[in-house]
Amino acid sequence: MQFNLAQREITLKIVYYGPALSGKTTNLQSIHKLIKPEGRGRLMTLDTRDDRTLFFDLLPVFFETASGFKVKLKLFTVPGQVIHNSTRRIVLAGADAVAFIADSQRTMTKANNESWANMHENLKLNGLNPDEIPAAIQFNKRDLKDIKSDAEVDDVAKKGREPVFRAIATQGAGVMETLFGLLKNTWGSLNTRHSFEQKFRISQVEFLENIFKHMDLGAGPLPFK
Amino acid sequence: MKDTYSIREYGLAKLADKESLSDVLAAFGELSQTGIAIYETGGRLVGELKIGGQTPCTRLKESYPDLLPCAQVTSQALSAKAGGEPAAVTCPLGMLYLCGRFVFEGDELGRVVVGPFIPLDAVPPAPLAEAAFGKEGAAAAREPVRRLSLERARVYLRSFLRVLSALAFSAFKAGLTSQMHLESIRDAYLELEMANRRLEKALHQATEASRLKSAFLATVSHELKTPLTSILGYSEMLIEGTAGALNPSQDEYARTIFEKGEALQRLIGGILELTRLESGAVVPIFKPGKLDILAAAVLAGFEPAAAAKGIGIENDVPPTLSDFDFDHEKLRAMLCCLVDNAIKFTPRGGTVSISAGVENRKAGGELGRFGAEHEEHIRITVSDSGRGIAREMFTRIFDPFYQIDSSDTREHGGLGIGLRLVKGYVELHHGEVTIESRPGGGTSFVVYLPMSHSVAEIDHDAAVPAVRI
Ligand SMILES: Nc1nc2c(ncn2[C@@H]2O[C@H](COP(=O)(O)OP(=O)(O)O)[C@@H](O)[C@H]2O)c(=O)[nH]1
Ligand SMILES: [Mg+2]
Repeated sequence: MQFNLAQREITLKIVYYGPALSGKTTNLQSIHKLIKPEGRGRLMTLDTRDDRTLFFDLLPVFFETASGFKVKLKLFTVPGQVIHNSTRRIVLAGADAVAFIADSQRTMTKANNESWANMHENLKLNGLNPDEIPAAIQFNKRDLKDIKSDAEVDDVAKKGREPVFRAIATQGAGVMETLFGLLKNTWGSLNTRHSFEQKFRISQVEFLENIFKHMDLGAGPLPFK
Repeated sequence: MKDTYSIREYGLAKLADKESLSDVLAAFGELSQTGIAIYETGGRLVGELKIGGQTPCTRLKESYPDLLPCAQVTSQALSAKAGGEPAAVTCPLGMLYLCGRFVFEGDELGRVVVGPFIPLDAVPPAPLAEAAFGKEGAAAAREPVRRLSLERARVYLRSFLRVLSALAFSAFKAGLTSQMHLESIRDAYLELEMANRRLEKALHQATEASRLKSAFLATVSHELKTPLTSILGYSEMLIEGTAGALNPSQDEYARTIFEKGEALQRLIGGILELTRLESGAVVPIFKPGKLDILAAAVLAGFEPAAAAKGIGIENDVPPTLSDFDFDHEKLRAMLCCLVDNAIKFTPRGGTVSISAGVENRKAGGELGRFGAEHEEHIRITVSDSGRGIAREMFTRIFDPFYQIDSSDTREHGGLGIGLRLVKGYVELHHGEVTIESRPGGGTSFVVYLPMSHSVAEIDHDAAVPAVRI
């Protein structure tokens, strides 16, 4: 996290991690679509010609609190392919939270496992504690056939501390829920470590409401209501 | 990544390259026929376009070089309260400027001033111009200045802000890309260097360890094999009558010595191979190949033995089975062990067969965060029609010094080392071997080999620990 007291500004870095083609970019595209232009910037995609992420995607989301603090979220994705490990490590540096986008397809279990282990390793190499960093897991592509069953997803959820969400990122379903769930944890963690609430006079409700107030109403009820 | 992914850190001036910016300004000027200026937050002028021709300002400057009305206007425009609508500022020469905030991702990065122009509807008073040139002179001086409706000027300003925002975005993107390039190259370089160092060290240790190990194995095998060679050689000479004719009992004894010597030689070979396998000294060499061809070659080698025992052998590996990567020498040895074993335990009139298929099954190894993994495996089955093995013996069967029925040891003259070797070869392929059998119903050894070892083997992260010491 970056505080800029002079500018009265807080910047949080949220990284979308996961195996290649699990839907990280699609998550950001959906968020970009669901939040009105007043609350977010352009979606920047640094990609190769074949559409598979080379460096990362970046979507800025921002708002101002009642106490006059500017809060900026930088949502990053990492490239999933095995060979881009150093890019992943660089993007992960200084992350405040991670959203792990898993591919629900059965055949992708191995890729999910490997990417998860790789994320832990890269967090450690960046001096971040994988057991403490706020994290959420999203089982994406719930619309496909031959996916992990709900019971199996529940089993995965039981095995760890991270909240687990189901999503169809291409339809925007579950995308905001994932971000919301992650930010809720992030806020809690930041508050414990930096006494956020006192320092910036911002409550958890305000923090979360502000991010989601720019959401397009067509997308259904806000996840925290 | 360094935390310079905020566009503010780049600054407006650095964002757009100077030449592109002046091109954009020129194009915009041509279109709108008004001047335009871009200021960074803090007031620094980043770029500017003046529409040519005599304006009241240029004429005023000629006569009154000390008067600086433009500076006044600029500071007024730049200090206008930040609000939604662009601020309109009138200069003392009776011209209008529109000033808008340039906001990027919620941050004000600077301001853009469009003007001068003279609004169509209400011409503002021009006290300074009138004082200098007289009432009529002032009107004439303003003649070359562009006349524009306020509404139109607002459109120009809004459009220009959008162009600027697109320009800033691409410049920001390009900046980030090159920063990322540099950082990942540096990172990859450091990583390679580290990996190189680790590899060098591992190679050194591995070479040293393998030197010691080979020295040991060479000594042991020499110590065991040299006397054995003599035993075999002399008993063979006895049998051949080199030392004179033998009576039937002597001949039988000599033959027994020779046969048992040969058995011992095979056993020593097996133990040495097992030692190499289990010490991790054997690095598999994976190459693509066809299993049906390998199976045929192996079975051909056993034809005489099978014929002698009246056993049929069958190659049921479908030729259509896809190629996969395996260590040819080791897989051949493995099949030999299994077929040898099967023939040994199959009575006259029985059959031994090799069959194969592809099966999607749970992969071995540690359970990850997302649970068990399923992978394509090649399934190789070596079946016999022997008397079968009881279930409770399944785990013990790979114990090198255990044999199902001790009477078999005598009858079939072998130790379980062959099956232990099979296990070693299978594990070398990251595979698994299981037994399917019922007493009286024959036995099948089923070997599962994952079809792709490649992921782990080409993964550069895994490449370092993959060097076995
Ligand atoms: N059926 C389905 N396809 C999806 C879903 N989310 C993403 N995809 C598709 O999966 C592919 C890879 O998505 P992308 O976001 O580029 O993956 P990334 O490599 O993680 O950034 C694209 O073709 C997406 O359209 C989903 O929820 N359902
Ligand atoms: Mg992507």
